[in-house]
Amino acid sequence: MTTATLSVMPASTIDGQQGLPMRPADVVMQLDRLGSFHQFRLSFMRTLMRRMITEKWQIEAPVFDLDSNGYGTVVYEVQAKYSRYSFVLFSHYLDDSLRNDRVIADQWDLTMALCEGSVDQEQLEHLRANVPLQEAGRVDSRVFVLSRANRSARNFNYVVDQLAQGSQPDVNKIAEVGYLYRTTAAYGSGKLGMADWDKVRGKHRDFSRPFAAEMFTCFMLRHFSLQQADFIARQRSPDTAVVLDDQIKRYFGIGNSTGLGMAPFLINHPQLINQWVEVRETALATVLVEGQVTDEALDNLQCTAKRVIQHLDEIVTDDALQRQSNQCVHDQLQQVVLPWLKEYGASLSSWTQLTEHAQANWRVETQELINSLLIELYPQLVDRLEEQMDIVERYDLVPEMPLVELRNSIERAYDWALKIDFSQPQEQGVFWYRSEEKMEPRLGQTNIDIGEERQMPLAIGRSVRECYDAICAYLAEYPNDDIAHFLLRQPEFRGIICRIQTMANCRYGEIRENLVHKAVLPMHLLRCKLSFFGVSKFDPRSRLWVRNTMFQGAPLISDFSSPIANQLADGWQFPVKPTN
Amino acid sequence: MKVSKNELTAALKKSFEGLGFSYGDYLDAAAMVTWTEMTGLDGLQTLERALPFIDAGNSQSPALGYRYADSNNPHPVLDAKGASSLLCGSGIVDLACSLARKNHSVMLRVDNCRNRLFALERLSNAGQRGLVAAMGWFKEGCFSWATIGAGQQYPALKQFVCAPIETPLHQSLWLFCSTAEKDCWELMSAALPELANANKSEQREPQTLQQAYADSLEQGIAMPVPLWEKFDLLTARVLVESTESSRAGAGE
Repeated sequence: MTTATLSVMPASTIDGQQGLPMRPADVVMQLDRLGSFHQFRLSFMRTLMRRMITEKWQIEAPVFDLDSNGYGTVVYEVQAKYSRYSFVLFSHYLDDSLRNDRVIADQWDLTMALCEGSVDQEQLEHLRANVPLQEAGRVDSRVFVLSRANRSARNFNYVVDQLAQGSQPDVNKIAEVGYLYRTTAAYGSGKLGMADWDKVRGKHRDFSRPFAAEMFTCFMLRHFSLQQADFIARQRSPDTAVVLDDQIKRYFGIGNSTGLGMAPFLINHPQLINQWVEVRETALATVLVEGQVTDEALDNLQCTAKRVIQHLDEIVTDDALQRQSNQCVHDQLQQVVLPWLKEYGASLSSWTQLTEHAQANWRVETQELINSLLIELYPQLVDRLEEQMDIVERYDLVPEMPLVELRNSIERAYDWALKIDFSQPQEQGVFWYRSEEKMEPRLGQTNIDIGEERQMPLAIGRSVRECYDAICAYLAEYPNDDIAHFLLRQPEFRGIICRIQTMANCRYGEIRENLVHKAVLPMHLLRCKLSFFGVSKFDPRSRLWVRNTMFQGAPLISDFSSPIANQLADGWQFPVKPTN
Repeated sequence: MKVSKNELTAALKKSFEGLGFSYGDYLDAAAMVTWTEMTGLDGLQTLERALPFIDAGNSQSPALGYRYADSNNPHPVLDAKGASSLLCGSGIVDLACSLARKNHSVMLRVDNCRNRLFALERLSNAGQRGLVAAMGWFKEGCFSWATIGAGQQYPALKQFVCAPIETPLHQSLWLFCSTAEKDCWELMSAALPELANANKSEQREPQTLQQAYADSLEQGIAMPVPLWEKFDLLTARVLVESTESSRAGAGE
């Protein structure tokens, strides 16, 4: 493994973790590597699940008002460690022809809201009038997540039919899809009148980690989907219906459909992304330094690797590239990694020998998978990092910095951007813009599609290049000026300089890729963020959007009080088919 | 209608972008308006009055004219060329911070500057970054005076009733920055003898601003619907027509 030169690296933002051999940004922040990240112990779904179980959250449904077809209103009350919340769900009839997963849709099978406290009748009626409208409605600051979901037509009817007939569904069929509903958006952070993230993180400690409330909403959606299937089957055939077996229930997740909207988030929140990546890298570096290679750890690693092989084997996707990628990682794990561990495992003195060998010989995706698995082995070393995923973002200019110092900083931290020749047409082959259709982010082709003059400023590399050129020209005339004086004359560079200076204090953060290159693969951006969410089973539907599965394999609410709840809380990653 | 802080900031960013503000400028401008509204300083009302002027071709940051201190002017003077402080506020506060870091303290005068209230958010930012800072400006027979201590989050505000000031100073902004505690009011009074007879008419403590901010965060921010609709119209300027081809660019 390449070890960073610590003396030139910015200070860590992670408490008490200075001095670890962190991987350098020019390795980690390559787009294809970010797009190869897998979910890991500190992914948001994983930490939420541990929190719910450890803190014994109580979840009940005081209102379960559905008709025989499963349409109606449900209110769940959630007693978490610090506060009480309500999860309000409306189930609507939706004609098959109207079911659309894109952000531009305006009707859904289910719409939901997560609210603080208990919901009285007046608030419920307000929610009923607005939540089903989603972006076209308004809620208030007692609500902090708004979401919607569509049925998987394939699975839902099949499962209900089977249950109504007194049979359990075939897990082989479930393996093909893995969920009953797909969520197409989970809005938080103050959209549509909801509570701001600043309020949530300060007031609702149960959800003070990034995206915890959004993940919880998806978890509750999964819970409802399973309850609803049981309910409809029983309504349809009270004499013959059976309830879904718990093992099969756990194998159901929630589908997710993610498009380009996630990409601008990664570019516009570099400090937050830096924090996430730094936590992940800190976990890995800690394991490499402190994780003892014991027989037990080696067994666990091999055991999990075998499970991943089965998991990969069971993924169904129509996307040829994803299929090929899954197959390659599957084969490499089976034919190379496991034999290597068998041969050399007992003689390893440190996991660094494994990661160095992986970096030199194995695919990037295999490397990152191994990293996730290594982190998994040492909860006692890494779980303390789970509270450090959040950061208060703040982008400050340092106006007194000599301009020459900024130029040097750009040459050091943005060398990747300065290497790009933006005069080449392919380097500006696409542009990002917002469509008038619900402001949906889209990718346009330069000189072909309209809207180039309204593009979003996501080409950070190009902006840095323009700024750098302007600074060099200015320095020729005013070599001793500082940034404040430069900006008096050329204020248009204020935004990018603020970003450059802020990110100079971050170890990671900037994604080292030209995002307006003709061949850019936004899929990598989506996958990166989704890996931190903790999703699995990527199923790209084009190079611009991807379906995936959330919470598949995760414990059920009824498991929270199980004697083996803690074991279930931690052992659900890389789900595989249950054995009957 | 109530909106959240994040929602207001996002709407403002897009609106300013629609007005033609460049990246950086629209981020700062959105932060200035949101902060002045949330702290109870009527940022939205001030913005509503400013929009027609900004929309009339005044949405680009001007290169600020800079005159060094000399025997006639004991303090550096900047010419904002009629720009709103939404556009030039960051630049002038940054300059003051830079000069203070180098010379321990500085007093700047900025002429021809509009909507000076918004620069208060930038001043608070300077305080949060460890500087002692103050700013003052005349408006409608009053002199507004804001101060913030090093490391503080919110400024204290005072207003003085005084005789109308002569042009061109009626559109000026005085800015102080220092690395150490300083009696900024003494400096201000020395620079503007007219203030000697001014009577204090209003005072807001930092805690008042802080409480207003916290209340806005908890309960949402009251938003006049016509202004919200105006934001929608401005935002529409950055949106691109949807076509069959563009839908392909979303992955269809």
